[in-house]
Amino acid sequence: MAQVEAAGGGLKVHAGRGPGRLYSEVMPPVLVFVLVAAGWEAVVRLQNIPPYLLPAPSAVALRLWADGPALIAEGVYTLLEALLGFGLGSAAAVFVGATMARWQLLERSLYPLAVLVKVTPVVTVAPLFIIWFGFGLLPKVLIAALITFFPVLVNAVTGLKAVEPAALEFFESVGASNWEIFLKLRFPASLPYLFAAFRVSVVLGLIGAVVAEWLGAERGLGRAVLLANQNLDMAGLFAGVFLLALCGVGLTGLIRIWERQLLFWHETYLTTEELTERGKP
Amino acid sequence: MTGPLVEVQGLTKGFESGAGYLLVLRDLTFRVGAGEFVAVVGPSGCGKTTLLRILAGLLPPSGGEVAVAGYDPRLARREKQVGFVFQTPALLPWRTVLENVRLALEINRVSRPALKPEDLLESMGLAEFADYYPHQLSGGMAQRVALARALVFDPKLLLMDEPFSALDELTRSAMRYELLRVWEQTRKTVIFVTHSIPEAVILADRVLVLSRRPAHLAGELIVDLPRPRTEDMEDSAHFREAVKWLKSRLRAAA
Repeated sequence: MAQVEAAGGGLKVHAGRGPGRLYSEVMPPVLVFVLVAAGWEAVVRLQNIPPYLLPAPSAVALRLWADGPALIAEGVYTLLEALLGFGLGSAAAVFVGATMARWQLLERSLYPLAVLVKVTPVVTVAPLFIIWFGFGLLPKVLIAALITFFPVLVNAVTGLKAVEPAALEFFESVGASNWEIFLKLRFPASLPYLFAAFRVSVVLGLIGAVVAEWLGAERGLGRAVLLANQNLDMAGLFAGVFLLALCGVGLTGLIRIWERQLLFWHETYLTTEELTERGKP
Repeated sequence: MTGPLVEVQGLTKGFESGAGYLLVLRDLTFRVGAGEFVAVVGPSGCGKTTLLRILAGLLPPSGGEVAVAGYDPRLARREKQVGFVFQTPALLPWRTVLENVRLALEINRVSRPALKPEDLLESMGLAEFADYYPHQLSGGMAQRVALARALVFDPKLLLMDEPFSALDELTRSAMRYELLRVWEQTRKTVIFVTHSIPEAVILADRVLVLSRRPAHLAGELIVDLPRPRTEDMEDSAHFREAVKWLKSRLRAAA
C-alpha cells in the first residue's frame, strides 16, 4: 500500500489528467500487489507451510469475507479512537504552537523539549495511560492524541514563522494587529507545514490507538489482531492487519483530499506548466 | 503642490549589533515636495531601506527630525498617508488579486474606501485578472498588483524599495513607463529607491545620491527632462549626461 502512495507522489508532476494516468499510475502497483499475492500463495501451497505459521492469501481473503462485518465494526471503533486522538492532538498542537510563536520565551524554553519528545517513541508511556484512565475509549484517544501532538507542534512552530519578511512588513505597515497577522498571514502560511505533519501523524494516531488496544481493550481492531495472534489464528491476524492498512490508506487519502482543496495555491499543487510560466512577462 | 510633504532634518539611525553600535544613517537632511518624484541611489547596504522604513514609520529614528505630511511618520502611517511597495510583490498566494488589494481595507475595517479596489485594478490594466491567484501572474503583473495594494488608501506618499529589481530587463523597462503613467494620473509624492541609475533618471524629478554607510547626502541632481517621459528620452544628451554625472558621484561616494 505504501508503494501506491510513493509512486503517486513522485509521478504527480508528469501525470496529466487524461486517461493514460490509470495505466501509468495505478496499474504498476496493482500488478506488483497481484504478483506478490500469487507468489505468496504458491509458496504456501508448494511448501505446505502450516497455517499457524503463515496463512495463504486465499485463506485471509476467505476470512475477510466470512468475518467482514464483525471486523469492520471493530475497525470503525479503532478509526474513531484514532481520529478523535488525531483531532484532539492536532488542535492542541496548533494552539500551543501559535502560543509559542507569539511568546518567544515560551518557545525558547519549551521548543527544544518538544523536539526531544518528538523523536521519543511516546507510545511507550501507553501502559501508564491504561493505569490512569482505564480500559475504555479515553486512554486510546489520549495516546493517539499524545503521539500526534509533537510532530504537529514542531511543524506548526516552523510554519508559523515561515512567512515572507516583506509580507509581514506589509501587514505592519497597514497597522495589522498581532491577531490579524496570525489569522490572515501566519496561519495560512503554516498550512503546508501543518499538512506535512498531518499526513505523518494521522497514521501515528492509528498506531497509537492499536498499541493502546493491545494493552487492554474491550473493542477494536488492535484487540482483534492480538486475540487472533494468541489463538494462532494467523488468517484472522492477517485479515485484521489488512483492514488496518486500508484504514491507514483511507486516513492519509482523506488528509490529501483536504490538503488539495486548501492548498491549491501551494507549489506542490501547481502543474509543471504553471511553475515554469511563473515569472515570465 | 504647496510646501514639502517630507521633511528630514539631521536624521541619524544606528543599531545595536553583535559587533557593537552600527551607524547606518548620519545627519541626513533633505526635503521632498508634494507631488515630487524623488529617486534615491546609493551603494549596496548603505541604508536606503532603513531610510524608507523610517519614513514609513516602521522604524524610529535615533536622532533628528522626520515629518511626513506634517505628522510624525508613525502617525502618518496610522493616518494611511503612506503606501509601501517592496522589492518582492509579497502577495498572499491564497488570495486572489482583488482580495490581495482589499487586504489592507479588511484589516482597517474600511467598507467604503476612497479608491475602489476594482477601479484601481482597472486603471492598472488588471481588471480582467481580478480573480486570478498570484501564482497565475507574471512577475511584472504581480508587482503591479502590489502597487495597486499600496495605493488603496489613496496615500499622499508612496515609498518604493527597488520594486523592479527582481524583474527581467524588458519587463523592468515596461514597468517604469507603466509606473510613470499611473503617476501622471495621480501625481503622488514618490520616494523610489533603486540600484539602477538610468531608472532613477528616467523616473525622477530629482535624484538623491547617498554615500556608503553611514549614509549621508553625497549629491543631488535635478532631472531636467520634460513630462511625460518617453522611451526616446533615454537617447537624449541630457539623459546621458545625468547618468554619467550620477555614476561619478556614486563612485566617489562608495
